[in-house]
Amino acid sequence: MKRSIPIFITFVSAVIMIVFYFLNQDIESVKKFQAGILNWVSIIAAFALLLGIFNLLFVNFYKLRRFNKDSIYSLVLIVSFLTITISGLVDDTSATYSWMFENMLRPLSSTMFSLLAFYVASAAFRAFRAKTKEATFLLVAAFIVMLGRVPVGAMIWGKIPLISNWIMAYPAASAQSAIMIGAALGAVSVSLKIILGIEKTYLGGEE
Amino acid sequence: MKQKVLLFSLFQLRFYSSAFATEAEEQISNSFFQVSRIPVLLGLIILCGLILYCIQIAKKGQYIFIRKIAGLNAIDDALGRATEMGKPVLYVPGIMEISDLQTLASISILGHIAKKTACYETDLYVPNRDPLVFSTAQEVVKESYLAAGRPDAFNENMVEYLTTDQFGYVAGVNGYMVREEPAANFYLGGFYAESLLLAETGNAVGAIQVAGTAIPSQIPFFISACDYTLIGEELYAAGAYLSDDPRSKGSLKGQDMGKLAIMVVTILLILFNIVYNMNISSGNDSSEGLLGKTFNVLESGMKGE
Amino acid sequence: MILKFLKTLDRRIIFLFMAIAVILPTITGQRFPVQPSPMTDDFASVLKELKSNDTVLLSADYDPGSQAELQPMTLAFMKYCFDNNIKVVTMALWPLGSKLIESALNHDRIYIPREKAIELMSKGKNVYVISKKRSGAEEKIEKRGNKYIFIRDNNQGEESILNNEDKYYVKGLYSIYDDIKYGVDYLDIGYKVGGLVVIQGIVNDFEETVKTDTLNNKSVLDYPITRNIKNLKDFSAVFTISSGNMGIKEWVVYGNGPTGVKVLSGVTAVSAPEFLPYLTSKQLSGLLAGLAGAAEFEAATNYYEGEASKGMTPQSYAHLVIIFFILLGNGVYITEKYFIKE
Repeated sequence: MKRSIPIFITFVSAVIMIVFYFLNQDIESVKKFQAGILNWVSIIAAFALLLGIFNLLFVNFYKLRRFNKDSIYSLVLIVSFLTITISGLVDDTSATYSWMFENMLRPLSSTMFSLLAFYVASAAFRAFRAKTKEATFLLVAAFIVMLGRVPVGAMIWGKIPLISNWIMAYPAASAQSAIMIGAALGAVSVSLKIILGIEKTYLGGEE
Repeated sequence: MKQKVLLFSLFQLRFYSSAFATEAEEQISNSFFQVSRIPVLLGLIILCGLILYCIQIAKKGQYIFIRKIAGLNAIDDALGRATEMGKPVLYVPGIMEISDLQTLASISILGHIAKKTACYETDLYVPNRDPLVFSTAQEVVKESYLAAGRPDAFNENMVEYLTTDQFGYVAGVNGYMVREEPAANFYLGGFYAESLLLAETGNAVGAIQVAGTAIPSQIPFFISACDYTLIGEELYAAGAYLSDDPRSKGSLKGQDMGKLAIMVVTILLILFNIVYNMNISSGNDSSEGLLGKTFNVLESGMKGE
Repeated sequence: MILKFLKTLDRRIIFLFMAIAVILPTITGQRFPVQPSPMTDDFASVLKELKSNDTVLLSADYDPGSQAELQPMTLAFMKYCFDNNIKVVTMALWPLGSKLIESALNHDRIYIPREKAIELMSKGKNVYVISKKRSGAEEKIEKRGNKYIFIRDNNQGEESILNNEDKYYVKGLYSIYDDIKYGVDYLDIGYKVGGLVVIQGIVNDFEETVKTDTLNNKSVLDYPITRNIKNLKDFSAVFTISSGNMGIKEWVVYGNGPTGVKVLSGVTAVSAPEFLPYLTSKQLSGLLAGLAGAAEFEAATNYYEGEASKGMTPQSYAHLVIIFFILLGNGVYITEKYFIKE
């Protein structure tokens, strides 16, 4: 029973959604139905966010109470959370909120993203080896694309950006398309399994 | 909660089916049906028909061969290593919402892994970026511990919500890796720029890493920094691979048949196109003759006109 | 010994080289000329087809994490639109995207040549300078009579001259225009919750979905810029600056799919290859790939002071460092495999 009801709801909802997809989208009742469903999705997501926030605070208050060397991080989290939430709730156009956004959130987030440059270099050094003929081709292509995407490539040889563009537009795009088609088919297959109740692991417990 | 998850999963099917029908659909029809979407309907019927047919033959007991997927075979080794070392296991279900099928596929694998960590009495940690994924993951891990007969080993803090901020989430997970040094890291689901940030940190702390995503641009990063990587559809196949249910295995075969059908159609269209263009270059009227008409019909059908 | 050291090279040494490669050119201000690639040329030509008074929708589907690559696109795109009298409606599918648009308009540094700085000061605008010969810190310039006074944070002013080699800038795009009016040339409808729901809503009924703007909380029907916008088809193009889920893919499938509206996009360099199939199938009308794409767009639109163009020199050196380390790694591998006997 615990499983049957969700599976039944899934099946019925799926059939409705699929049928509506093939109906004329300009019919008023179709529009209204879709808007209604989509609004529900937004509302559920908003409530789930609350659930997440409560968990976050609960877990970190718990860690703070246990008090060990890592508790300081929980304290920082709680203080930051409360400061930015309260200032945003009071007035999200206020100078304090803008200051925190411009001078704390923007640089911190950018710093995390900028780590990519360093990690790409170390991962490439470790993993990019011309062990086979195919790997050597990949390596040469990678050099051309890396040089072609920056001005120094054109300064070395004017044709590098053009070759780089060709590699991106044809071999790379074809490979991407193949992976996308494969993944889309996999997604359709998983959807069908969920709709028909074959795939139930995500409901928890036994298969 | 489960109903919410299901509702979201339905949107994904719509998303993928509409991905096949993105061409001009602007003509407004007075009919009750969206005539321009008939090719999508046909494609969907053929694809679903193939998958359902293969599920049926698998149910009847026909043997379905599934090639070995090294990344999935490595799960047990990674868990065993973590158990031996007495270190925790980190499971990252991606950064996408629950409506994304990669997340659902990942949650399904999480169920299998949680059962094993319950049996081995190994610590498991599942940080989440999406609140809905968090509540689903929590439920799945809890149920898996119950199913493994170890509800006492389950701890609410195993599954945590961190933040919806992409790089805040990365900072949280990386911080955990550096502090706790997990022995096995699993990154399965939808990932974007954080893929390499996570995988390189995991590599630095010496963990065995298994990754999998259907986001094509992130696959190279995982390949270079992880020990095993599930590429694209292998992530979706994981549930069936790990499961003993013949119907799941059947769906995999159906999926491959669908792929074959798409390949045949693509090759036929390429041939048509070549012959059609040769016809034009030889000076014939392109819209005349059986070939020209066939191509025009195919072209307008594909555009949904 | 050396081989073993190179084989097990500490990643921090690589990080150090990378840091030097990025920091040094940034400090010296060295500039390499940027040539637009065919992909960026195609993007720019789509924009150049737009006519004066056309309206475009700019969706900021990113957050501060990827701003280093994507914010220059926002700045260059909006600048091009304002320069060419193209009207811009901005929105965001990501919560912080809206704040980044606000930053572009009111806070971000917009570098200008010396002549432009003098012109703007004469119009009473706030102009700032970073002078190498002085402290190298930000100073506000005030014109008092025929003298230029450089004012620091502590409000102490000092007379100085405007050198050509100093860097002049204003804060926010708004500061360089006199004639850009909110509600007429530009409107912000802010962050909209729901992703797909919002796109599908705008496809069907813009006013019903959006309802009000963010600044005044007034109906979009009250503003001349959106008075005649019924749905997505009424926009001449959509430009989504996207760094992940809820962004380019959704705009292509749910925006371009049902309406045929031109969708342009700017994405991070790492994710660009993923969207190339949309470009070749023409579902996407133009794509800017990462900081290089932004710099090329700046070059294509003659915006030489842009943030992205400046970033291309450090990026060039960073690419060379990566290539160097890959070659080093392979050199070690080949030496070990073919020249070292067990």
